[in-house]
Amino acid sequence: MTGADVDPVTLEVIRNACVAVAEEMNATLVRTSYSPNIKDRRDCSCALFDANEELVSQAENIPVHLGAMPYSVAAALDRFPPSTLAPGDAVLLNDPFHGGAHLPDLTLVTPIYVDGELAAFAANRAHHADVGGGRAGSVDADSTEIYQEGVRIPPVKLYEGGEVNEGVRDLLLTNVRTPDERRGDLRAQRAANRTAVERFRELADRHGLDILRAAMDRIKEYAESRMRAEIESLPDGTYRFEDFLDDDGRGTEDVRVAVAVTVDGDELAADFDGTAAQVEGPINAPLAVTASATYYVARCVTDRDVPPNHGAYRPITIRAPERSVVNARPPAAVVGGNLEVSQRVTDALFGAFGRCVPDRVAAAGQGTMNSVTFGGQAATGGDAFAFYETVGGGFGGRVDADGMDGVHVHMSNTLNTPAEVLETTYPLRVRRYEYRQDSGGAGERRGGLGLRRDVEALADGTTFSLLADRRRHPPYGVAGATPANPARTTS
Amino acid sequence: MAPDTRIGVDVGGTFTDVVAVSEGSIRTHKTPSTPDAPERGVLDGLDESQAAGLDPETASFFAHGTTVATNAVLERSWAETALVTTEGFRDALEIGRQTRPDLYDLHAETPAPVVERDRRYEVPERLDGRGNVIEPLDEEAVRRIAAELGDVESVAVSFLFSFENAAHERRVRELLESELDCSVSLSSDVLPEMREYERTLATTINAALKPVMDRYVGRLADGIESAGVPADLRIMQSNGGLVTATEARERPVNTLLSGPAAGVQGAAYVAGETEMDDIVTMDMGGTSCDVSLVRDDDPVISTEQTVGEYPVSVPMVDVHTIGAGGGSIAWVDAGDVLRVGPQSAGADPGPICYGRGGTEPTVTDAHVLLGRIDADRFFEGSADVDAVRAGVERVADDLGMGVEEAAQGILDVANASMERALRVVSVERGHDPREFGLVAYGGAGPLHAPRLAAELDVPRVLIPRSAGVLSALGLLISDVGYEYSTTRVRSWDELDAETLESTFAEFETEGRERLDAEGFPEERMRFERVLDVRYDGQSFDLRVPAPGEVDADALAVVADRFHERHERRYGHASPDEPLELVTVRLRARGVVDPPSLEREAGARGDATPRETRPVTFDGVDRETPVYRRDTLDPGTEFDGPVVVESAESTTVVHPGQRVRVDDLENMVIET
Repeated sequence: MTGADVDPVTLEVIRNACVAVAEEMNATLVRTSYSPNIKDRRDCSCALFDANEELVSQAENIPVHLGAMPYSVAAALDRFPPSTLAPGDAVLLNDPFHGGAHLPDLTLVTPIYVDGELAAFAANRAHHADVGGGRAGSVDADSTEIYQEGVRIPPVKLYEGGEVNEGVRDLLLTNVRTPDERRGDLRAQRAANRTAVERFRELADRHGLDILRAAMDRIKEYAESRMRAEIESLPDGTYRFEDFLDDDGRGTEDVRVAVAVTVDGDELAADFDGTAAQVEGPINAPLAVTASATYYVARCVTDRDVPPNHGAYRPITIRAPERSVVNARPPAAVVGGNLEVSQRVTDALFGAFGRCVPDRVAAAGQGTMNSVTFGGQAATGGDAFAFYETVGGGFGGRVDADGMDGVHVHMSNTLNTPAEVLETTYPLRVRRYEYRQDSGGAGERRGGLGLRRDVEALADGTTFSLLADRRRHPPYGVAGATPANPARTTS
Repeated sequence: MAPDTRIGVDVGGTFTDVVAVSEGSIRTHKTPSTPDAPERGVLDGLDESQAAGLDPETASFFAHGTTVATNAVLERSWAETALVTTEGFRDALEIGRQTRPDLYDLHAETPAPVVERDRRYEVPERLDGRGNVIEPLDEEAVRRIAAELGDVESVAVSFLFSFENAAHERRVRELLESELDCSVSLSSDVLPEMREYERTLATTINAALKPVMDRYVGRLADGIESAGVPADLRIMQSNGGLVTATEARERPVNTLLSGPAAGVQGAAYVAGETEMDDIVTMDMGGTSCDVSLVRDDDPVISTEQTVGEYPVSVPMVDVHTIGAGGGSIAWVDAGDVLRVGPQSAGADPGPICYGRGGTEPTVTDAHVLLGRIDADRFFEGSADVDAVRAGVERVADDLGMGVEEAAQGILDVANASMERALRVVSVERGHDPREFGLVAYGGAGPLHAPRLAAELDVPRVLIPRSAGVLSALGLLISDVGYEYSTTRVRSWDELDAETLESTFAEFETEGRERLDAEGFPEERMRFERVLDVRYDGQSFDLRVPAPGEVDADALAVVADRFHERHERRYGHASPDEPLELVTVRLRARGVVDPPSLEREAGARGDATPRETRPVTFDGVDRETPVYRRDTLDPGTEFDGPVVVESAESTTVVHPGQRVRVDDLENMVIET
């Protein structure tokens, strides 16, 4: 590959440094961002890619971003090949069909030059609090087309030679509800990538660009060899499982997610053939989301010490039928892909792995993120308000322990909103927040308890929207345990 | 007149340190800690110091750093506790923030609740967000609970919005105390701030610790009194302020980081005396490395610290722990890469060079192998240098490299992970490490700091003369401090300066009474007023100092300061956006004059190396002079490479670096 030789010490030193680059980007992004989504709930991720557009290191706060960023970098460079890029450029995108996941996630990709030579890329993704569309917060459970979900950004140069492209920026800001906040969050995303540019250049200074490049190659090879060894240790075979989303909110029920996981020597394949065709409601996932779920499950059933980078993903193949709920095409509505489909894909994969390595999986957990939005006029008759939160539930039972009670499972891990914060900010009152007793299913090891949250609306005309699942199809048990209780929403 | 002596005693995991300052001269003593009854170590230390000439009867000041509360939390060896809370919320303590502790570990567990469900009781009552009663307290329900509590030693009471109106909580305390013999902790006393989970958690931890702390402090106070110490016992809190024994017994949750806070105070003091106002402290021992920031002489305080598994939101020095220490084990992983830690050989058996049966090569062993630590001298003949070589050789063979090269590699990898953590800690807090000095202490700190500073572009490293007893020294220079706070979420426009002023005045009266009771005259009292402010709709607030009396002008000043600080901390500000008040705070300080330490004239000393020996730096053996720390006079200067040995640690100054001994006998290394 390259002539430079990297000893095992320098390799570990540079690997630490590359992770530090991603972590420092993340610290900068969280620190300088405006929206609570990024600052508080940490719905963002940062990554370093090499000049071959391959992921070297990543700092992700929620697993749904785990394997999705490579799609963003690929889409950005597909539109703007390296020959068309220059120092100071940065490419922005959110189009789920061109490197994005769902519209609120904006990704910024910045090329890194060392002495005029393209050496690496920095990329970060942040969930913006609003990107327009039919409903404040841009998580609209009623959408049927991508066009209703907000402003769609194909890969565009937001920055050129260090200067912001004002036309692009103004077009974007005109189409969102809180433009100042968006401007601030975009600035934070840019600051994060600039941190990476600076730190990467320092690394090149310290070690020499040749060594740095060779080390990045070795970091990927290292992850690949370790992941291959992990897969090798799994019993060969094809393991099938299917699970269902209740419905798409538009009359299509029992939306099937089917997967066949094949372990063949040191390679792993997940084939989603047999999964339902994409639906009218917004529970369609772009391939990037399905890939994230697959990498997440692969990581959970192998040694977590294997660094998540391009090398670790090399032995994993994903096949998903086009125009299905796990590989949606335009003009599908996709906002629930990240939130709900990703969870069911995870459940189906764990179900399949349960037939391969039963002691390494858990039973199905709550399998939804319960995205709740309250909206209306404030009690004082002042500004309109929109409040978004997610409600956790039970984690699946484990071989050696009951499931965790009342947490977010798998693809999410965002915080709740304290009742005291909620009540001092919105005309809402929390009446009850507790475990649902006996909701975890029966078994020697039960599943975690679900949560019950009673919220009273104090203002007339308050609207309530819920994007959730697992109301009819309960989470499955494993190893003879009974399924858990399905979720319930009452009003 | 009899000399006036000040005594500080800090109890650490291994040693109990005594520092006494009398007439400018400083006396230190170390004695083994006695974890089963820590007060014994304290009294041993006093006894032994007395034998060496300390007169306890001249003590005008006695301050103590303790790990009793911390250990009780880590081991969950605390009192049987119950919780009384608002109907509908008895699980809030266990649900926490509904997150799981590890993203990819399917076997992770959420923290066990401080109080189990069958000891969590609900009472019908409810306040709204301004403290208005929506549903009155059901006193009958409280009496029924009292009847069920039985042998519970301690009770925590936490109702929604009690920071706005504490009446219901106080009434519950009256009712319980009239029926039961148990201690009661109210959330409106312990942490009267918004966010029910964090407030309830702090209150239950306080309740669970109270009987433990009460017994400990009682025994200790009796002990030092019998030893003849006339001074009142003072205890270090996690925020770097000293309090009376009574206060520590009442609010033990505030002492969880007592020792580390004293250490950071000590480091800040020494650095300040050397005109370094902005520093990163680095306390590296056998299993971990604690880092924290000191800005403008004051340790940075945070309310987001985690103790054990619990996020405890009371103010504490912002200490970040990195899992890298002298005992961190080097190993070659499944991908043939050299790794260091997180496994540690700890103190027992410890590194191979301790000669206590350790077989895994550690960071300390790498130092021995490269000639930086003189194992024979340090471990008094028990060290087995051949075993060290054999241990590192196993790693070297797996890596296909020479043994010295592997040893250097172990240090490089350990430094790389520390560098990563230090960078992220600084950037998260909005600082550039290059603008800070590094103050290193702990057994392994001075071994690593000079090299680490060079990697981080940090220009100066300070190795304090009292590096081995910095926490005990910190106890002597800290002020007495009480904090008062209450959450008042109000939009800035509807703020009434008069109401705000009366809240501050109430706090100030309480603080003044306490300080007065402790014998502080008015001119030694300081009252610092702080408002936590945020942009409307944001959830991140910033602490802004308020100028004296609160009126409209003062509020305008606070607003300006807020925008300014927001810019500094987060990189942007929006002066046109509406603001919101979140919390009102007052810190009452009883100023303690730091004892003056003798400075020695800066004559260039004439140090003679104890020996020269070959030390390996980046693969090259260099004949390196080795000095004994206690032979270095103020004013001594030399160029690296140099090794300086003292009783508790070894400092390695690298080629190209320069070291100077200042007039307080600290070593200052220019990287």
